[in-house]
Amino acid sequence: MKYFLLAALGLLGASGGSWYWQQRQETRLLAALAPLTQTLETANTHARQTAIQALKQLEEGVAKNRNQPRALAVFATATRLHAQANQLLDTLQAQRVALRRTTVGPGAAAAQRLQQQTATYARALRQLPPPSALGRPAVRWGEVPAAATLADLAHVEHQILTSETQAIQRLSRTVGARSITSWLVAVATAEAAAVAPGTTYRAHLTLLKILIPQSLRMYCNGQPVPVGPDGVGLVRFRAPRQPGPASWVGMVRINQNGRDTTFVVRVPYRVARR
Amino acid sequence: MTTSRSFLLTLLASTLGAGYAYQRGQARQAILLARFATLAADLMANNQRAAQATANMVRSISRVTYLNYQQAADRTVLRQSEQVLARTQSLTDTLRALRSRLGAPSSQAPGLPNQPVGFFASLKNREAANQQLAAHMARYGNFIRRFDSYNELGSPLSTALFEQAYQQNLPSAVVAAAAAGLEAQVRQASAAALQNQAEKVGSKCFFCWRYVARAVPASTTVAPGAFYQARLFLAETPAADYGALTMTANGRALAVQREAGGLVALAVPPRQPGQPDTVRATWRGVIRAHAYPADTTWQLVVPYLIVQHPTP
Repeated sequence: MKYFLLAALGLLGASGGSWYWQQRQETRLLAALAPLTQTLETANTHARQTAIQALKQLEEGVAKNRNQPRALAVFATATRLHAQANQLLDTLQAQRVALRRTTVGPGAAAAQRLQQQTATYARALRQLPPPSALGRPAVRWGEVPAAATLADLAHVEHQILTSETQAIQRLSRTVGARSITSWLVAVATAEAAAVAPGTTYRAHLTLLKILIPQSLRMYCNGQPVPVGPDGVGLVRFRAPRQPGPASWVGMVRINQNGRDTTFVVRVPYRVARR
Repeated sequence: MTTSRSFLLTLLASTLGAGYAYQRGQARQAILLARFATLAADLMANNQRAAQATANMVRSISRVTYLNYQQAADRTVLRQSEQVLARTQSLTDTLRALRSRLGAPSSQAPGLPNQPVGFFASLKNREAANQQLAAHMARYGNFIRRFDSYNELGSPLSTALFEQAYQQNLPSAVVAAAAAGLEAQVRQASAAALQNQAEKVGSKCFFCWRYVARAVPASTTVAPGAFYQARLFLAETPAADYGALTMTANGRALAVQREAGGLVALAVPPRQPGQPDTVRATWRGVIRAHAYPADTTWQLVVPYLIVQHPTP
């Protein structure tokens, strides 16, 4: 009986001890969670600026695209998405402030409003090509410590901002051609490919960024020139029989942002007898 | 006897109660630890984007410096920005190595050596590692504050969470999350510093580049009735998100003009007795650009002919 009592006491002591140790660990974990949450909140504040900038860039792209109806519609979609995201972010912010002040979660009505706004935003996101899903916002109230709920709020905020910025950037790509495919190449142009012994050979060495726009047509003296997939047109013609200075006119035509643009270059050369 | 029995029962009940409370406590801790992993993943996703933005920022400072004709003041700003980039990379690489050593997903850090770098080989000696990291952070903090002309860098970089996690022997998930948080702080500080730097360089030259049609003939001189050949393209000028380009021909440095490029002038040796009328020759051109994260080089070999009586 005595041993049994001792064993029971020991068990109680042990479980009490581990319970105490566990409580201390939990307090420490909660203390460590708070600064991390704050770091993410600061990052989210910056991300909100990034989303606004992405929308501004889209607006500039639309203006550059001469406000074509299709581009304007894209901008309207992005603006609507931004407004919905903002509404959601404001709600999250208000709930965060309330939680920090009182350490109790919002009432059922507020929680429901958050859910409704999230559903609206997620629907808007799904309708955009390609459809992207927003993870279910798992904000847990009440049954977990306030620090965990604050971490949840920061996480949901992060998800919303990331999905919003990515969606706007994807929409931007459908407006005009903001960036044209290009490649860099080193080229050399010699004054003459054949030189006499004891003279000086002269050439220019240049780095060129060659652009490959969607529609690319080239002409030499008005005649079409074959253009390779690398954006390079091959000009080849028979030089005149008459020696002396000569020139040809190169023309590059592209359709950028819905308007035709022509670039012209006059290229001098020399015809000389060997 | 009844007292002792009821005492025993109470004891049993409280033991069970304590056991239950312990179980609940474990579940709560699991919930908390999951939060650390979530926050770390979010922070690392941000960090990855910020790393890209930092490199882009330095590239654009380099470009503006170039477009502004390499003025001394701009070049100083560029050099400082490159320093910010390098030191930020060094510190964040250290933090990422620590994370991967702790078993955190390292997919976010491509190009990072899988093997622990020397610093972490002695991770068992947590105290030393912790002190070393704190010292690294402090040095970086002192460095980055120099670029904080508007006092905008926000809260000072703090390793407090890190030290706490080490000293209290918190789970590695917490230490890994603390490393992600530390990287986020470093990225915020470097972004603010580079923003200040970017505002210092030149005029905001957004439309200094333009598109032009360019032609590169095989040779600018051609014989009567022969075929003239050239390549025609649409090019952007100046060609580059690159700062100063260095060019060489046959290993000799060339004077580089902005639009014209490098001027090559090679002395052709005088004719040797017995030399054939036509000799094939080549020269090698190399263009090197300072880019981020690595330098880029373009090379080309250009053939030409040495002939007894060439085109006049």
